[in-house]
Amino acid sequence: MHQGFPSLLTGLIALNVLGCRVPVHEDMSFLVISMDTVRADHIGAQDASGHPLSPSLNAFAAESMVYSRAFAQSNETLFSHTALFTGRNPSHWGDLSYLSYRLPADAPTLASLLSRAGYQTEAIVAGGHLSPGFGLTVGFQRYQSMQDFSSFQETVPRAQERLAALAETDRPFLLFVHGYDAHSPYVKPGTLFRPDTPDYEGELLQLARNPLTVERIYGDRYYPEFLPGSLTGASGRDVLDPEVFTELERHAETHPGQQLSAEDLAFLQGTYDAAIRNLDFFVGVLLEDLAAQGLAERTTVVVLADHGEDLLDHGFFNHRFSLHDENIHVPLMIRTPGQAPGVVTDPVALTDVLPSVLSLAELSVPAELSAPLAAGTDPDRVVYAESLRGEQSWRSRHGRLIARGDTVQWVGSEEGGALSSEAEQVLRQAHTAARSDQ
Amino acid sequence: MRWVVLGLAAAIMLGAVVHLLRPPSLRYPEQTMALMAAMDDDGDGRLGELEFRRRAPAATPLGVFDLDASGHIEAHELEAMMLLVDPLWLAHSPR
Repeated sequence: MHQGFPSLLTGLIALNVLGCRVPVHEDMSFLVISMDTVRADHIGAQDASGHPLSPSLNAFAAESMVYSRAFAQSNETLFSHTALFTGRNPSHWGDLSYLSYRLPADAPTLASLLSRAGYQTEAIVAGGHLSPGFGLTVGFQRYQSMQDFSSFQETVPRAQERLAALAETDRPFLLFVHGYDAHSPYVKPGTLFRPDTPDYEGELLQLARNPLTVERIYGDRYYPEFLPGSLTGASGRDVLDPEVFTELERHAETHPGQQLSAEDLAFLQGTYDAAIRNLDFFVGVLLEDLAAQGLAERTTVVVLADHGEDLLDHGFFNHRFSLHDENIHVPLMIRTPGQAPGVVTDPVALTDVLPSVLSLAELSVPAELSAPLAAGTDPDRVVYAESLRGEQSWRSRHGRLIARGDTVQWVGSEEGGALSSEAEQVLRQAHTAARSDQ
Repeated sequence: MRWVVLGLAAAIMLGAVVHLLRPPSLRYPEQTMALMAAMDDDGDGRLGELEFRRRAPAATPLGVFDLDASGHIEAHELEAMMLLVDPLWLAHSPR
């Protein structure tokens, strides 16, 4: 014992010299599950028969701190995950353009900060905008990217393998797991095709598998001849042209399109519900495995979505068109061993996740980041978001303001009620303050 | 003594038969039974041909997943369908 202590001390000094830090909570690991494109209002919802869409997540929520007003900092996967991983707004790292956006290799991230502190950091992602070409690999010692837009059905089995391997060591870990289940096309390869619209036999039954189908719907009309544009980004990958929505609106002025019936639209929305049910099964499986591996007692689990989805709330089946709640009000639940569950209704941001994780790991939180959630939230907070279409948004607990530059495009209550002049003034002041900072 | 041995043997055989006929236990019972409940229209605890065709990729015959050839998808078969079937294989299954 006396011989071991000097060796341990020497080791700790060596680690300090190398710029590493052994976390005080040596046992506290982190499992972060990102459910792409999941609206907050679909977690805890029921289908037409009264069956819960998300039974596993409902059970998880009952054990977690649930942030019922959590907002993403962007309505698109790449930018929102950048904010999640860095604790900074997406534009901090460059112009929001698919053509050029890439997280710098030296950016301090959730993974790099934990990695420097001695954590094993791993990610299993479902391709798309989380593919390695966009730079979000920073800090991960192991980064597995699946075929583009794959589901938890493909990432969870790999995460189960990694959990089993991580359980064999005492080293704390960060495991990030991602799935595109609820991203269009909502009909993914898999067994659960349409559990919520079993009797539908219309044309969309076949078309729903085509990734471009929902990009051709505007309002209640389908424009089969419309060809959504694409761009080739710096990563060498083809991405959807952000102007596709404007082009579709323009296209709709001169083309009749096909009228979609109520059954057609219910079917499409049902396939989204089916995707939620599918991802819930696999997230539940992963959480069961975490417990079975004996890791649940030393692992904080964060479950969130990077953005939501417009299900015709504002005219499209997509999430890039606007910064309204359907696109950026996201689920955020954090289950920390030994911490009582609860619900926080104050507005919070995905950028709060990084400082919260660092705080739970008892690592210092960089001054430029927000305060950890456990330190308390602010009912009067106004949460910021931005989009690749040049819009900015400020969301308080009462309502939202959306602007493009100096021009306010929309302000009001997301629930449809009137916004008091005082509540509107708070949002306008946030907008004005941001404009004068720029 | 002879009857005791025979009785014991019969009990062991009966136990073995019961064990063999027992449905396999579920690895993820909560998740699987929630899924079954959402798809099981008649509430008999399993998916019949119609319930299956209305939801799963239709061109895939029920028999592919009906491991015990009972004519139904029981809970353990639904779980296997979710966990073991390659989704990319199903993707090429025409509807």
